[in-house]
Amino acid sequence: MAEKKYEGLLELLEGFQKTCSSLTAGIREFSQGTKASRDEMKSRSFLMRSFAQKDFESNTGMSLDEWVEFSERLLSRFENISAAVQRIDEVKSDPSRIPFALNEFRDASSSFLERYNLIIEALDRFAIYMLDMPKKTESIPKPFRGFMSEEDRRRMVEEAPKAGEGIKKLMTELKTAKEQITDLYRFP
Amino acid sequence: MGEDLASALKGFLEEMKAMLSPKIVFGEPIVMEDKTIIPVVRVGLVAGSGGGKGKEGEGGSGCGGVGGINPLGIIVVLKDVPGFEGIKIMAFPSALGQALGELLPKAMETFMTMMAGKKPLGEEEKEKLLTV
Repeated sequence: MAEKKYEGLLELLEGFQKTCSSLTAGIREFSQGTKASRDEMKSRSFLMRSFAQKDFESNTGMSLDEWVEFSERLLSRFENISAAVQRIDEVKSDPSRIPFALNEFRDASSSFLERYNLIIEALDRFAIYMLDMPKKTESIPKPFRGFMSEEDRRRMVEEAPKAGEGIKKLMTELKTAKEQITDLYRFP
Repeated sequence: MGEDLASALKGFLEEMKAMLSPKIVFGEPIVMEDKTIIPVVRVGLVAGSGGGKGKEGEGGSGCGGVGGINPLGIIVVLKDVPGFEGIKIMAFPSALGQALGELLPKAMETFMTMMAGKKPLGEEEKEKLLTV
């Protein structure tokens, strides 16, 4: 990479490839988690399910079906971004081909950058909902608790906060990705 | 019975099977310091299905149902009282049971709304997220 205008590009690419690899794994895990929650919700009794679905959608902003769809879209988006970064990496020794590869990268990542704030706000709502679940479980009046199974209660107290921590970690990685993409945008 | 109706009816019956699980009839026990309380409710259900074909050979089918929950009472098991003496069955008067049956879903809904205090995202925001 002889041209001065691409100084620093190699280091940025290397860092961003690592972020993409970790991020796609994180989004995949998130997607699998939301699918498992959706299936678990379907197995609940009719009465509890209708209330749980309403409570979930009000707090997280979307239904579980929508969260599954969103996670799959986000995963697909980052797979496209990773492929575009890979193409820049492949042409880095030929400066004449870099602008075209960078344009492809911009095309792949623009919708993520445009929606970044909305994505973070939505994920934050989801994370807070999961982190607050043990407190919420305790505040459910006893007559209503009678219609929840012991397994439901265990999940709400033990597993939900772990999922919340996972979403927070995903948000941190998305923030890193956003900063690195913005850095890559400065190259012509 | 056409395939569409058979498939719709199968799905509907699966749904009803989940609804009529014993957990709905006997609530999970509420364990307290000196006693355990088991709520007892009756689940009522009316279901129907049908299908037909028009002149052009196109047909339609469907099924539906409506369910209701009627609290009947509670079973109280006293921890320190052995034998039958330690088991109390407290039946609600039918009018109270009916009133509670109407109240319970509304109370749960109000409670959940109060707990939530938030609203789902708007359609435009959802659209943006689902097309990222």
